[in-house]
Amino acid sequence: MSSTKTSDWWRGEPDWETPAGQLLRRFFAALPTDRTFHFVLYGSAPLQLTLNRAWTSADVDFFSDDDEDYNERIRLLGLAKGQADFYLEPGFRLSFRTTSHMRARAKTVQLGHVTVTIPHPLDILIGKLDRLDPKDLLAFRRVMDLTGHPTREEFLRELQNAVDLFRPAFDEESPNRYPENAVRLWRELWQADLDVRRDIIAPALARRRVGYGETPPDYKRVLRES
Amino acid sequence: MRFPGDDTDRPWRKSRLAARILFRKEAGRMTARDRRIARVLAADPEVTNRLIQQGIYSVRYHGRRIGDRKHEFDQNIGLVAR
Repeated sequence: MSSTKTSDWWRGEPDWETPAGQLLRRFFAALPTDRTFHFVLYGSAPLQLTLNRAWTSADVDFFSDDDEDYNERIRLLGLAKGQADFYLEPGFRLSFRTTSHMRARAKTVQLGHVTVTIPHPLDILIGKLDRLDPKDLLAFRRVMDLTGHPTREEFLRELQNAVDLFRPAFDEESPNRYPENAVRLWRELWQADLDVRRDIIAPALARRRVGYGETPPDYKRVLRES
Repeated sequence: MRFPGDDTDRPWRKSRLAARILFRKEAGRMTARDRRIARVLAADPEVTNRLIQQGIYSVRYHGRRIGDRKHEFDQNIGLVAR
């Protein structure tokens, strides 16, 4: 596929017969029917559901829009970590670090009283850059093999749009690994050097400044000295 | 519609007033009252350079908006090197 439009290389049509699809349907079927639910998937499950049913993963990561803690419900169903080979791993929206585009380009599907948002592979891959373990690196390679995307230029643009992921970590956190992992990704996938400050941060901040408009002159000084 | 006690547009109104005073400065028509108000507005934290700039683009002075004359305007009030 040669198009660079993200909607052209990912249709986001989930295969509910995949292991992730079956596990989710089992979970959804056990949810109370007197209210609606909205879950956002992340991790590898969206890739298995929409790109390749053979995609291996140990779990299905998701969070709920209402920030409810689903651990107990899942444990009662026997679908929690330690209870099933393939298990559900509930998280919170802050667990999924990705771009602000995520909702706009995700696929949202309705299964009865449950709405499921399946993020675009780009957003999944950006989330994986936080860790970039060997299996995460393989996910990049596999998405590229399957779709021809993202190209280096596309992913550079994505990371520029996600520039805030490159800010230093809070004191309470581990060091932010996005900068070093992006450099490693470039070396591994494209055998190229990446200068995070020059190639990601500077162009992104330049665009942000344009968006804010020109920096205003010091009109207050003129008023003060009038 | 304005609601009593709703002052959300107060910084914007003061900044537009600041913009009008700067237009009069450019035209060489500042009055003593303008100078007095200008100093008050300059010390007012609700009045920001960004809002004044938006005011300059927004208000009409003698029936005209500033349009593409903004750089010239900044020069005329002494903000940009000629």
